[in-house]
Amino acid sequence: MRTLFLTGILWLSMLANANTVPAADQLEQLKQQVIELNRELFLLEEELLFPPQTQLAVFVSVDSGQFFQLDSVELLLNHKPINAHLYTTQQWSALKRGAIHPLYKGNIKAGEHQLTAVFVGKGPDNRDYRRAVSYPFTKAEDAVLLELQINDRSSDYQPDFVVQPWSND
Amino acid sequence: MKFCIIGLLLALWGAPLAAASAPDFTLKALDGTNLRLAEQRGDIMLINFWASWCGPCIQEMPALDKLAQKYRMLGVQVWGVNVENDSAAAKAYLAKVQVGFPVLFDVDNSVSEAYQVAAMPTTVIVDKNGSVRSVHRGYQPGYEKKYENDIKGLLRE
Amino acid sequence: MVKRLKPLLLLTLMLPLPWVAASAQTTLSDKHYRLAAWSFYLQQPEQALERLQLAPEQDARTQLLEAGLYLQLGMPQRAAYLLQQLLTAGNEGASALPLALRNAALLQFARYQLETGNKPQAQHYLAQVNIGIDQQWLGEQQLLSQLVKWPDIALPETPQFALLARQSEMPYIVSNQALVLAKSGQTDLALHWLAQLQNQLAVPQQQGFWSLLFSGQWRLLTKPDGFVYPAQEQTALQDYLALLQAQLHIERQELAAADAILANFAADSVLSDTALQLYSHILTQQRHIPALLAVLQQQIKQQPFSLTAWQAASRIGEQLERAAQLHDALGAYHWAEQYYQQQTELINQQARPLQVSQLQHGLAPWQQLQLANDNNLYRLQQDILALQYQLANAPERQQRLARLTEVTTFKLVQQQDLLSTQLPQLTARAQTLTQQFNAVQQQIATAEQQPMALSLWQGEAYQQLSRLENAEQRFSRLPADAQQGADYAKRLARLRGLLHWQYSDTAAERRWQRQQQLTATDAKLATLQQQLHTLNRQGNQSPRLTAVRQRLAVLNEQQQQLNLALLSQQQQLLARLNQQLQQLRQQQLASLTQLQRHNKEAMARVMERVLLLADSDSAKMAEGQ
Repeated sequence: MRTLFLTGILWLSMLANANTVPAADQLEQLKQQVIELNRELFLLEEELLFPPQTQLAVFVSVDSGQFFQLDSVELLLNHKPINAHLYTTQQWSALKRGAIHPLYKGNIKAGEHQLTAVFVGKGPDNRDYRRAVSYPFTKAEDAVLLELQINDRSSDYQPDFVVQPWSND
Repeated sequence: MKFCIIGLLLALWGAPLAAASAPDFTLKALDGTNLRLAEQRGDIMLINFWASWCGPCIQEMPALDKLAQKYRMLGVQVWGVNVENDSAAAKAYLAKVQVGFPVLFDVDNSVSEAYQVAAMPTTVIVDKNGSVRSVHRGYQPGYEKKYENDIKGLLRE
Repeated sequence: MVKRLKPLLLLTLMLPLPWVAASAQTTLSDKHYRLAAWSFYLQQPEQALERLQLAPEQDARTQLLEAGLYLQLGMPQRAAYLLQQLLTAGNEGASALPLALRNAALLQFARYQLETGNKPQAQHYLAQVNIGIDQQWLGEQQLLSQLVKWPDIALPETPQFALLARQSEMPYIVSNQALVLAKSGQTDLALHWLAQLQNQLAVPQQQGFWSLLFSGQWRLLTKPDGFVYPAQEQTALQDYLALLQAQLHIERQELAAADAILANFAADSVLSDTALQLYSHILTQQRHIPALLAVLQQQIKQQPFSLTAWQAASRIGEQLERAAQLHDALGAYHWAEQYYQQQTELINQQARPLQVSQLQHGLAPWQQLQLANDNNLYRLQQDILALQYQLANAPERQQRLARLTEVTTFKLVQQQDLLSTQLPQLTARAQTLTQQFNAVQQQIATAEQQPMALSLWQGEAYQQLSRLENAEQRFSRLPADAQQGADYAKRLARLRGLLHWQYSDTAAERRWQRQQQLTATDAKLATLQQQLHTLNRQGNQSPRLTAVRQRLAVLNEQQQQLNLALLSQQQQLLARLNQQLQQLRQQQLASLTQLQRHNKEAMARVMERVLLLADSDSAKMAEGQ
């Protein structure tokens, strides 16, 4: 009697096990569908909301971050503020490890523009640091992708702020 | 100048704050560091909106400090958010009355708006998953007991 | 368990990034990789995965990261698929993985095979791991090897503390080896090894990888100094080793030694339940009743709703009965009866069907316990919560779709306007202008044929020429004899000559001016044509926009169906969860009922003994009189 009971339990638990594997499959399938849906939404958004003819995207990256600790970046387009970001310690360490931050994405008209980026942080001797970099550019048919790079200038241990456009290859 | 990021869900739901995701934000703290709410996921957060001109807010500070100290090791953080456009008075106050928890400055009021802060002070308690679990408006002596009960309940989950 | 390797794997993948940046790789794919890294470090694996998959090119490294992200998202099958592709691909060429990463992938994949019960496959991939000089992953390799080969694991002569010095898995490898030694009867050696291991652990170690591996906590990765709570893991391990030693002592019947260890075992240890079980076993054998009673009471206190606690309840009475403390035994059995009653009531109260929201917060203690102890239930709970997470994001997806549909409709209307009004108007104007231009050009050409065409003159010169031509006409109409004034004719001719000379003199300049004007107009026309061309091109978006609108409608439909599928799956799993909970409830209530019956029998038995004793006492007393 007891062995029967035990076998029954065993069988039931095996059954339960057998059922959970397909359930895991199904769950994974559903997750995959969500991923695909999201991807398609993203691509359509790129095409419709930020078409290349008007797209301006700005990114932030850091070389090794030895000579500068970033606190915040402010963006101005033709002298008007368009975006600002405060960097947390976690985000700064992500940048130092090679990550690139997608700071801004928006739409602008064709023609001449000037992008100004203001970097605020702490310099090599822990003093407050504030640098502005201006970058004039022409908006034509292609999307304008600009990478704000904070490089290390080992010649004088100062950070170097560069605006580097990406070519769309 | 806008220095913060507001969660999308709030815009979607718009309505009562409780049981929704706590809107994310990044603000500068008194010590100059930038603190972001979403990075504290996994900790219970007690966010206290205050102003230096508000009596009960000042009255509440020591109680908050004690609470912060008591529960720090258990994964609970207390953040003060000052909602004044000019932080001079607040900073002067903090120089005199030092608290052990981070105080952030919501200078353009975007965060207090996102949290629908009307009364002063307002205390919002967020669980480990980032959902708002309770909102206490105003302060009277003894309210800190309520906060503590909320925290204890959340710790048990 | 699969989680454990993930954080390490992903961390290792991220470490070579500076290497990437330095090698001047500025292709777009590299940018995508680094953008994915941003999302990764901000603990948004979905975004990281999306970024990665949008990169134009994939190499071995991005594939490996992708696999790691899939694991993070709880999609082991896709991760396994990617890993398999990665590992069966060639070992040569620029797309090959560096050794450390290849080993990481092999180990991860082997572990996955092991956990899905496929030992041969696990063995196969494990065998391909080639530990380099830096010995990275050596510990993981050895541990997995043990798991795959258990219990025929490799047994070195002595514990290889030196070899495994920098490996966080070292304590587990060595303790497993000690276990196997004990199983084969060499308990002396096993104990010796365990003692040595304890000494090794007393030395403060590099806590880093250690905690990460065993806590598997994702968020630990992001603290700047790396890791938190190493002390917890340290303590747990010490406790584990102590327990192993105690077990070995028990097997060797060295109860006193085991007692020494277990008596000092921390009550708040994670392994406290097992320790109490062992302790109660030896105390029973040693007949240390007071200590045993204390342990049983501790078990009841620490492990509510468990068979251990329930059995402990009746054992208290049993031990007292055995020790002939009958009245205490009776009291104990009485207490046990009430305890069982209370437990039954509590279970009935707390074992109610669960809602999804309760799974997040709001579980009764009994429910919480069942979910924590039963693997199936735990898995179900996790899956239900994962589905809830996907459902919670549905409104955002819906909003994105709505916004896209709105924009598409708006643009289509713009297109309409463009095509039906603006474009035709502009085209008409361009046509008219062109016609005018051509006409003028034609006029100029024909006029230039004639030496002194009136139409090409202007201003004063024009007037002079007009008067001259008029005069010539009038003269030619005069009768022949009136024309005799050859003087007049000569004068006319001379005038004409003069004007002609003036004309030729300035002809070149005027031609040049005309050309300029023509060129200018031509240019303006060209610009207009250009604008027209652009607008035309913009107007050509209609087909694409219409296609997009259709696609969005399809996506909307898909989104609805997806939500339904998510919800239905969730309901199914919830039903299964509740069903299993009810089964557990029934089982436990049955156990309690049985124990209660047992208890009643025990009480009756003790009562009988008490009465018999009383009888024999009184009989003795009567006799003694």
